[in-house]
Amino acid sequence: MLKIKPGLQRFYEYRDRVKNFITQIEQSPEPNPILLRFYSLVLENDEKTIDCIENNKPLLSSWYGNAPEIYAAMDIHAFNVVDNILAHQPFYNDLEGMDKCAIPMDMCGLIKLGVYAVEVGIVPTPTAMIAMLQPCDAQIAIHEVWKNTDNWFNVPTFALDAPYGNSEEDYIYFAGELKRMIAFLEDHVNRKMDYDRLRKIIEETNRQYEAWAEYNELRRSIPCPHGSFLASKIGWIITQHITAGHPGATEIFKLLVSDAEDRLKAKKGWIKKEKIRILWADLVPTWDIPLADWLEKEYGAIVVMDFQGYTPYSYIDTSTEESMLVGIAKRNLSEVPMIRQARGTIDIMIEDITRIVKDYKCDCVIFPGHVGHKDQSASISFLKELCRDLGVPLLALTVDNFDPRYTPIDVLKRQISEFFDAHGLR
Amino acid sequence: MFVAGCDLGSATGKVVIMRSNSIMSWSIVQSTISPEKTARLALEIALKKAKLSSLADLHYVLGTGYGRQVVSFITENLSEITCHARGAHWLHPETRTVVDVGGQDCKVILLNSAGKVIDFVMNDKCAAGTGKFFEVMARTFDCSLDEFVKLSLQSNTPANITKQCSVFAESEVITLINSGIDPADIAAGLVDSITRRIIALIHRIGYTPDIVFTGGCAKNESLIRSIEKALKVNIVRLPNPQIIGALGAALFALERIRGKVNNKNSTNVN
Amino acid sequence: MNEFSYFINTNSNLKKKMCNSKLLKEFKEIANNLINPALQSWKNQNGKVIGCMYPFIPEEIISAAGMLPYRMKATNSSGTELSESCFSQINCTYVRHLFDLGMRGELKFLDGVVTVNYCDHIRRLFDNWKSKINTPYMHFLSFPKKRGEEQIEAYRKELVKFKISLEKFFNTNITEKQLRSAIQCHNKTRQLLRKLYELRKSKNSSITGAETLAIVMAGTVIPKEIYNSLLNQLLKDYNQAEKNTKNLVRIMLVGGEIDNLKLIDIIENLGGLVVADYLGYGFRYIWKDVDEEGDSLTALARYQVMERPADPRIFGTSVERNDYIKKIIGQFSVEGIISFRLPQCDLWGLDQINLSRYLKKNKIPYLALEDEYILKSIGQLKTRIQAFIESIREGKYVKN
Repeated sequence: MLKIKPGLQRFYEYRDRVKNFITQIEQSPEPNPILLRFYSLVLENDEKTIDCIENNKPLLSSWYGNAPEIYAAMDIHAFNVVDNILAHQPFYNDLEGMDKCAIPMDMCGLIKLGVYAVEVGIVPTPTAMIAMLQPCDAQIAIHEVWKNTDNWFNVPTFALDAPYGNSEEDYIYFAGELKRMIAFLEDHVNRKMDYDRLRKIIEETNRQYEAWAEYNELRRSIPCPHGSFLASKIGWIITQHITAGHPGATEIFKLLVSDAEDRLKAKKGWIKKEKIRILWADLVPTWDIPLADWLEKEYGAIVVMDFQGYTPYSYIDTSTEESMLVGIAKRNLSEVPMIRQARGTIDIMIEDITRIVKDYKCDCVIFPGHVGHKDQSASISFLKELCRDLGVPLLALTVDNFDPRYTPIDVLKRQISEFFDAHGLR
Repeated sequence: MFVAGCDLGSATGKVVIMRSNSIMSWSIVQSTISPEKTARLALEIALKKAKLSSLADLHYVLGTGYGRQVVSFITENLSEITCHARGAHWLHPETRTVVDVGGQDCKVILLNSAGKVIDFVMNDKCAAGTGKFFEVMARTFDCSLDEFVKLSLQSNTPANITKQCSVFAESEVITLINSGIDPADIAAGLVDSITRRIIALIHRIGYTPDIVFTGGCAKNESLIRSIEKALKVNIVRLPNPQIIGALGAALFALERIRGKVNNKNSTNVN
Repeated sequence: MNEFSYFINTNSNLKKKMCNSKLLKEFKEIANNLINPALQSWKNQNGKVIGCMYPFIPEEIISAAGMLPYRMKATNSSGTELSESCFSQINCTYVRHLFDLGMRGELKFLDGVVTVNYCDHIRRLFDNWKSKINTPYMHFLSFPKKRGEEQIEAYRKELVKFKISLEKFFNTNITEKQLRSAIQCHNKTRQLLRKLYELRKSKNSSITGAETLAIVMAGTVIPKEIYNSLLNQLLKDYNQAEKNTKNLVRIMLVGGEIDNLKLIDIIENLGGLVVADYLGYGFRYIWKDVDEEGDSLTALARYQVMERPADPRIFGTSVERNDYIKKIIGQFSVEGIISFRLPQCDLWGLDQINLSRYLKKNKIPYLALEDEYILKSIGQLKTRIQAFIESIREGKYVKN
């Protein structure tokens, strides 16, 4: 019996499930155009991955923040090992599977899932790998483990070394790394860099991020026009996890803007009686839906902004190759969610929280204390002082953003309830 | 010549007395806070059963378990991993995997055909997946451990216990009881959740049949069946699994007096 | 007691020392305390002491400036209470203990602290230290995460900034000649320690693992010139020492910046002898020399980025590290490997998987351990270590 290629069965299942979602949305009384377009883009992306596996086309293992603009310009399809595993988490027992691997329990769920996925072969074996070594220690470690997994031992690898700072010198250094990555890809994946194409892609992403910034402005309104985490989840996937510079992604952002504007004109907040505006100071957890629903129904509380949705992207100057590469370098070092706050010193995290609390008129800050974000948990005293200065209460939790079993939701609800009550936020 | 193996666990102390290749007697006592006291209590009972009068009748006492290093009359001590492996292999030479679910820890040990330890993994940081978890749950049900096991065997539809931690699980159980779920189903669900923890530990190191369970929890038929179902493999049931560590220690004691092992290589001596 | 216990007792007295050198006792004292007489004397003469939080920092630059580089450890820390407001339970206990000591003023003899972005815990230790503890001079070096010529160049730029910042703050000048001289002195240390390591290769080696670690650690907190001359004498003392006659299981210890003598004591009290290591205060510290030709800062950058045996902080080095381990196993007749990790350490946590896979393939007995910086679970460690040593002794490693 012919052995199926690693990851192929899973990708068939992902594809079929997404097709199903699309059908359900189409058949619903009021099909949501944003979700329809979103899932179409996801489906297109998954089908590309399937095509690469089935037909032995070049397939790159990469990570968000690894300059997807460059892959798109070189017509190289890339996948991230954990993307679909996280997105489809409710439908599989991957968390239990991960427990059976000899991975330290105190590590981030996303990292554990990544190690497990490659070990058991539920992801494709790539043609080449671009290792991201930022923002956290686990990034170095997980890519090293993958290289030490039999199926991936001979996968040609290039690692992007991220500097610690945010100066022009740092961006130039990283632009140099990107040039070396391009040379690596030309050698190992046999695709050539097309700078004209890169220009068009970057210009499209400029439009996307501009639209996203516009949308974020609308979330500053009271009441907030859209629900917790909405654009953060969608936005991050369509900018970092599918082919970069897709016009369909720009369209989605514009739809988000126009829907938000319509709701604001009609004075329709997401929640009838919005009472508590929250900054969720980290990425969106995979268990966001039950949390968000409970916050809305129980407390009229809404997460108006989170780190995944808040990134002040700069416009990239596309006039020269150099300006494009330095622009992408800056974007990937300083503007991609989580890398932005976690890569260097605490200053950016402090700055972001300050701006978000003020601009979005937050009533409180919830710091999830994700177990993978060890640097953030060691920033807790700075957060406390900052929130004191800003005059907003801070709740510090300990969770695993990617494993709902770590701190059960009813325990979290209790902690959040006590916090709201103690600070008179009810 | 008589020898004794003494296994001083967190929950119980066990002694096995052997002569030549035969088990002359054994005993199990509740552990006290003093390993010395526990060892003496267990030894007294075993000596009496073997019709021996005192410690002086024993030519070698080998200890294992938590209290192994602090008992004055123990001649030599070995780890419980080594002793459980030896004891299980002696009783059942086809043993290649030993799973010891004790009072406060859980171990998985891989052996080769000669009964030598190849690899092992332990969980001794968390009560989930150990006898402690059962104890806490039986208390929540306000019944004995035996009654708890019998109750769980009555269920065909185990409830889904979501909490891994025994502290959180206890409050989840109370919620389920109060919401009218059949206690047998809850008990079975708890057994399933412990099973998941033990299975995860087994998978971390891998397993080869035959698999044997040792320790107090090996008497828990509900747990053994649940693990068999999860692994799709039959587990060999040994008589008196709780004394297997002490048996292994006694077997090593026998070897020592036969001089089979080079005494220069002994580890820890009191 | 019976006839057999006497026999066992006389052959297993592991606590008996083989080397009676007074210097050994001194080195152990130095390793077991935060402050030592040589350091005290240095301070009394107005010498400056610069704390180095972790590896990859070229101590030669500090020595060249006429200052004492001091590797920071949280020796004898009694708790982490004063770190609780700044760190959480998911942060490394080394960092929490060190910060606690800093907050208590136990490290106020430091005139400065330097660190690199070694890991997520250390880099925030620096931020918290800068904010809460009054150490006059602080500097942060950005160290690359992979190897390459561009990375050497980048790190050299960092070293230039570091040198200038030291010069400016302490109103001094660090010349190329001084750098060269410091490199030669530190290389001498490495060479002498390599000679010490040669003693460990022998089947009846007179040096224990605990002694080795204490000796290496002592060298990181006293002036190198003094240390080198003491080491010379110690080597002579070891040549006179009794040879080991016991048949102990030869263990290699792998890990990060392990500075815990107690851990090695446990292994060596349970029938093991730590004859080799792949540690920060050990093999990685001593194995290669810095190039004494050409531009010193380039040589220092190259050494740290490319040449010093790597740890998992540098991506893409697991094959090289496995090769080192294989060579060490051969040269030191290692029978089993124990690796040790601090909880919450992602780098070493996943590296234990890499090591496990490699050693399993090569049928080398392996035990992975973890415990807090100040050992908390000694009983549990002893159980595992004892079982591991027994498994090697009672039966050679044979997979079914």
